Amino acid sequence: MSAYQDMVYSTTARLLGDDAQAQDIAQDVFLKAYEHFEQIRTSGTVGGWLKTVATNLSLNHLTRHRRRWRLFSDLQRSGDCDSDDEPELDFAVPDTVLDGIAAEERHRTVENALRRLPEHQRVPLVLYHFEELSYQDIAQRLHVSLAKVKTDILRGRVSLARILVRAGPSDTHSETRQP
Amino acid sequence: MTLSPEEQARLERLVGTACRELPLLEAPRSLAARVAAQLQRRAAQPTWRAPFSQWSTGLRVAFVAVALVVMGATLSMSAGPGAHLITRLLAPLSRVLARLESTGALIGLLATLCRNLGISLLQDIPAFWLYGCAAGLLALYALLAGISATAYRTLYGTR
Repeated sequence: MSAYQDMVYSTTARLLGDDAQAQDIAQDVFLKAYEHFEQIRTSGTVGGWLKTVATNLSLNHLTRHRRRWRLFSDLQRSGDCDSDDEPELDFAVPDTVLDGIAAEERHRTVENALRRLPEHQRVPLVLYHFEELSYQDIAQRLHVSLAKVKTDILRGRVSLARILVRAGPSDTHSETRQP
Repeated sequence: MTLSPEEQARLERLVGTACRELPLLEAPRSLAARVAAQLQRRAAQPTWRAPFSQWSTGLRVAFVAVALVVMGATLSMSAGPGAHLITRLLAPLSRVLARLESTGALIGLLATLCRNLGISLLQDIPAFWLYGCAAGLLALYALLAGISATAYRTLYGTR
């Protein structure tokens, strides 16, 4: 378990964006692994099995949570239309945005930025960049249209880039595209 | 969408690089202990409380066999000479059903009385009051929804 716990926890934490929920789901993953111990012991792909189960359980958890709070989420989204939730896409990012930041600081900044993304942007973004799923696969997994996946991922990238620009060296702060 | 395809590709590269170079998050030290504790708790539970799929093969086969025997015996008794025995066994149940029937009749009488009373009351109450009450209820419902939405946005929306 110790060999895989960081990988499982990283998967659940990045998808869920919440430490407590990530721990609960990571625990469920290892309990499932225990139930299927005989099956995965001989398969030779323990890591892949654990990652798949971690992803599936996290997505199931998010679906349940979304159903439970759908009404209020909709209310919130309609009330927050002018916030960072739907960022302006007219935004150019300098290539050097990450250059001036120390690695450790950069990692912390990106992790925090990921957590600050709204769920409908964070989840497809994580599935694309960390789980390396295609747009089509993400659309199928999340039961949304391909266009929505592409838009959400693009908006997520823009939001992430904005946060990185704000956290980056001071000379990059003003490098947004002028109309 | 005003970003050009080149800019979108550049953004994808940038975010992809930033994500790829992230190290794994360190799992909390308590995670292994929590899993171990949960496994111990499960092990301490009796077998029948575990999901059927986790029962041992022998136990599952025995359970299915016993269930089939019970089903077969019940069917044969109801069709054959055991039918009289079943009738005797079910006699208390039929008595309970008869009592429930008489209770149902009483409840029906009470419901009729309440309905008649309600109709006569509704005829006496001015329509203005009825509409006022309905509007009040709707306002209270909207208030409750507003409070719930505010609570959600405060407690969960900022996560």
